[in-house]
Amino acid sequence: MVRRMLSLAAVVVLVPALARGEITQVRQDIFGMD
Amino acid sequence: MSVALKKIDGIEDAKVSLNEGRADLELERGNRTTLVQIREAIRRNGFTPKGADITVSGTVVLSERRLALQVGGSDALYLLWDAPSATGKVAELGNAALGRKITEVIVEGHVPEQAPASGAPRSVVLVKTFRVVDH
Repeated sequence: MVRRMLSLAAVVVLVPALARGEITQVRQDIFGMD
Repeated sequence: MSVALKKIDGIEDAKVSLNEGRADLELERGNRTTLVQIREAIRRNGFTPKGADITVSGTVVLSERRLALQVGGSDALYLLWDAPSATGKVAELGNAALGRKITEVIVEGHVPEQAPASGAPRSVVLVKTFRVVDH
């Protein structure tokens, strides 16, 4: 029982860490200026 | 086109300059938007997306022995390469991030245009600068 609760706690801690990250700004060329 | 870009979920603001051939986008905190979605919207509006300067946060991981940025919100993976103007930056980033338990980094870099026929399976960010975020 205790072991199961500990593994559940580990999942709860890991999920936010894995979901971290996002694009915040993009400056996209749209005409072929490369 | 700015109207079409603002309709993408996660886009907070979009300014399009046809004279400069550029779209400047600000994205909402916690968004799940991908660069692929943005480029598809540009194509649907009759324009051709080229390279993009991008600011993106995520977790540094190893993918096929290369450093990559896992962007958790959208589950996108960007391979990290040195920008020509910032040689050694990716190695520096790897030393700073790998080996720490949970590390978020914010990367500024350039995502080159990738033609669908190029066969490149993943996006690449040419890293210009980065910052480690400690939680």
